[in-house]
Amino acid sequence: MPGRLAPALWGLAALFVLAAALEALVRWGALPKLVVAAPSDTVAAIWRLAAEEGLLRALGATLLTALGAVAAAVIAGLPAGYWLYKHPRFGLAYRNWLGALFAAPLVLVYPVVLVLFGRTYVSTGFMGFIVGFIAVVLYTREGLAAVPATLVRVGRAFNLTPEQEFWKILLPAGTPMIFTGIRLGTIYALVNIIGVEFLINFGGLGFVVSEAYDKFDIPGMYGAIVFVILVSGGMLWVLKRMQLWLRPA
Amino acid sequence: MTRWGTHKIRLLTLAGLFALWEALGRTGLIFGEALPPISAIAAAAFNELAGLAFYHHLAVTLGEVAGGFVFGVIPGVACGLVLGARRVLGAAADPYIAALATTPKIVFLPVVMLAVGIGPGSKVALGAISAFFPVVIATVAGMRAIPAVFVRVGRAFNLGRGQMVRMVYLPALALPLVTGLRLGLGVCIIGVLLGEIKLAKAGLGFLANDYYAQYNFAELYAIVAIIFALAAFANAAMSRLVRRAEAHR
Amino acid sequence: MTVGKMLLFASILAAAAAGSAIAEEKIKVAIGQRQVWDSQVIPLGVEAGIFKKHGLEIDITWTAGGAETLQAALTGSVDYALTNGVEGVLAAYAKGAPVRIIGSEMRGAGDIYWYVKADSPIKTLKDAEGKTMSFSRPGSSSNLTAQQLAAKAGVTVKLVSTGGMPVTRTQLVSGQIDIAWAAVPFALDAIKKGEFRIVARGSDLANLNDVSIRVNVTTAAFLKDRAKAAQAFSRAYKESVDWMYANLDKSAEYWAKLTKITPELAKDGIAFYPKERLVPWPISGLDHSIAEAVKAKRLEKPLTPEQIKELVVEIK
Repeated sequence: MPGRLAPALWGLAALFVLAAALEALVRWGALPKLVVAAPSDTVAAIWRLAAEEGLLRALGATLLTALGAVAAAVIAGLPAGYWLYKHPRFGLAYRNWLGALFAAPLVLVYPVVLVLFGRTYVSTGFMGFIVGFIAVVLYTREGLAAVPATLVRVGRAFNLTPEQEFWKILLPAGTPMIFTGIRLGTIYALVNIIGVEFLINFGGLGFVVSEAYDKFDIPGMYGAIVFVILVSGGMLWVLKRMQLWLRPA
Repeated sequence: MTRWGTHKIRLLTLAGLFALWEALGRTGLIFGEALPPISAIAAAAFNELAGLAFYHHLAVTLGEVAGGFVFGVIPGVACGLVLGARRVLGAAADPYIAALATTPKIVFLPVVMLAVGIGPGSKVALGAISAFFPVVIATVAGMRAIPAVFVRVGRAFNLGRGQMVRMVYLPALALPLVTGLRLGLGVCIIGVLLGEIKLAKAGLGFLANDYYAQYNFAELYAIVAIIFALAAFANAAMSRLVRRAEAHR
Repeated sequence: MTVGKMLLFASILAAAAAGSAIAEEKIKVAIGQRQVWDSQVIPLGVEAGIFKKHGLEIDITWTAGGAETLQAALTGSVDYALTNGVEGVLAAYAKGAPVRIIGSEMRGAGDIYWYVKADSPIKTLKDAEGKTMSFSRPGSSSNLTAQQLAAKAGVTVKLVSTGGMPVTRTQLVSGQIDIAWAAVPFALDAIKKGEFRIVARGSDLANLNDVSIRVNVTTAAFLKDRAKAAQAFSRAYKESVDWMYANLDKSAEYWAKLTKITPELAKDGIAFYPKERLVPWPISGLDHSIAEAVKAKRLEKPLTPEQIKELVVEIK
């Protein structure tokens, strides 16, 4: 693995060059101003959105919605995954279904969710919850099923109760995969939530993007998009750090 | 654990769910008009499939998905090969690709419109952008996982670049690549459908949105069910590919 | 000249003559809101052969009705963008977009109405003190209309943004809101059956009936490069509106089939749109719209007379 500094610097340099090229193209009129914003305007717009249009409040709204969705997904998903593990007949029966659901265009059900829960954070959160839940259930079951049989037998030999077996053997051994499920669930939940916010023009960050678009505030729209990319990147970084902390590999 | 046992569970689960749905739909409890009974949805689906108009929309969507998939996979694999092989370049690009991957691609619709107009091309482009990221990420991961000894053996035999790709890289990449393709197809379908909802004159997403605007929930669910069935079929085909790639290891 | 060459020359001439007679100019349009009556001008005009008569072949792309309609014209993907909210067009123009308003698409808010459940105690808005009244999205015409209707009735209502019509209807039925908004022909069948009742209409705001709320636009480049086609388009559009109202049976049937309602219900819906609301010229109440746009901060300052002259183009 090369030193961490060099690639990061190269990446930033490339970004800088691309931004400069884009700036030039827009300023010279080669790209229409009302469709592509100059990077300088975009950065300025992020500032303006934060100061005047409640960008940070929107960020808070989206993150809280995602947090709620993931929390619900974990609270419902862990026991469900555990139950599927304990009842292998059902686990095997539903495994392919869950896999297929995970890959399915679940976001398409948003009109129905909208009609059920209204145009509220419950709807956007629910959209995140669905994908998060499936990810957690899938990976929890897989993670627990992958716990080496010897460990389980050791537990039996010590006459552990199911609770003890879960907390002392299954959970620690299954944590890497379970956490991967939580991590994937979080990412997918966040993507879905922002996407639905954009589609229904309501909520946090996704709404800021669609609102700017509707007002023809093109620098604002790109500013919000860049902000979304930064937030996604930040969230990924945090999750990666958490996984490393949980299981220094 | 017999296969019949698994089938029994699945059949019973489906029967139970359908019965509950039919009951809720007929009585209008909880969801009111938003949940028509399964019988109504089945009838609507039958009507759709029996009519000619549906197949036009189906063809449009399939074409856009196919186009998006091809235009996303080829650059994805190409970039993945390069970024996976070159350590500094790969490490530099990593954070940007990861952050962009978690951004909902629907927010790029205005940019897409600028580049390729508002026809099917815009849906193809959204599908391609969506498919690109899982593919490139999986390819890079696969490249990095290739044991160095394989590469050294290839070099020892003085294999040219093309031969290296054909005889060393691609076979070793088979499994990660196909896994990436499977994810890529899933998000490609989502990208195309969302694009059709926002801006189109034909396609399954367009059709679903039309029914929603008319408050025709039975038809809406029917289209969504058909879309899910198609996605599941595509996913199953991809799973078959994954299993074959696994066997080749 | 040999016989062969003469024949060749003659056939080329014939082909050219036949070509110019057959070839229609292709115009691409983006239209939002596929279901509403005022969006049917072009489809009906095409059905009735009016655009063909003027030598035009129209290619329609439907949008979800948002800014992407205008954006499609700005990116050059389409030649005309129809059904744009006038304030959005003003905002785009002020930001330097080369848009030109060439027609009024809809005057007034007569296509919007507010309805309640049949058993609701609200008979008119005067009974709606303290109740929840919905609109689609902040800044939308349903928002502004709701505000003005409540003010006119002298009541203070709780204005709630509920989004699209399907969602709004369900929220009304489940009791989350008291008064739902809708645009023709949504829920008209249920209203006719007695499930719901209309308590207010956008046309109650008489002063708004003379304001062009939605306008049709094209780009400056199109007007310059394809002036003849633009002329043909404007003429065909006007003729299509005339045809729609002169042939109500046929146009109602077409619209009924599209929206999956009965022709009778379609005619009830068309009653919400007196012909003068759809006549494409002049652009009515522009000063009012500019003032509203400034109030809503979509315009920094009012447009100057020179700007208005550049923006609004009459094509005869």
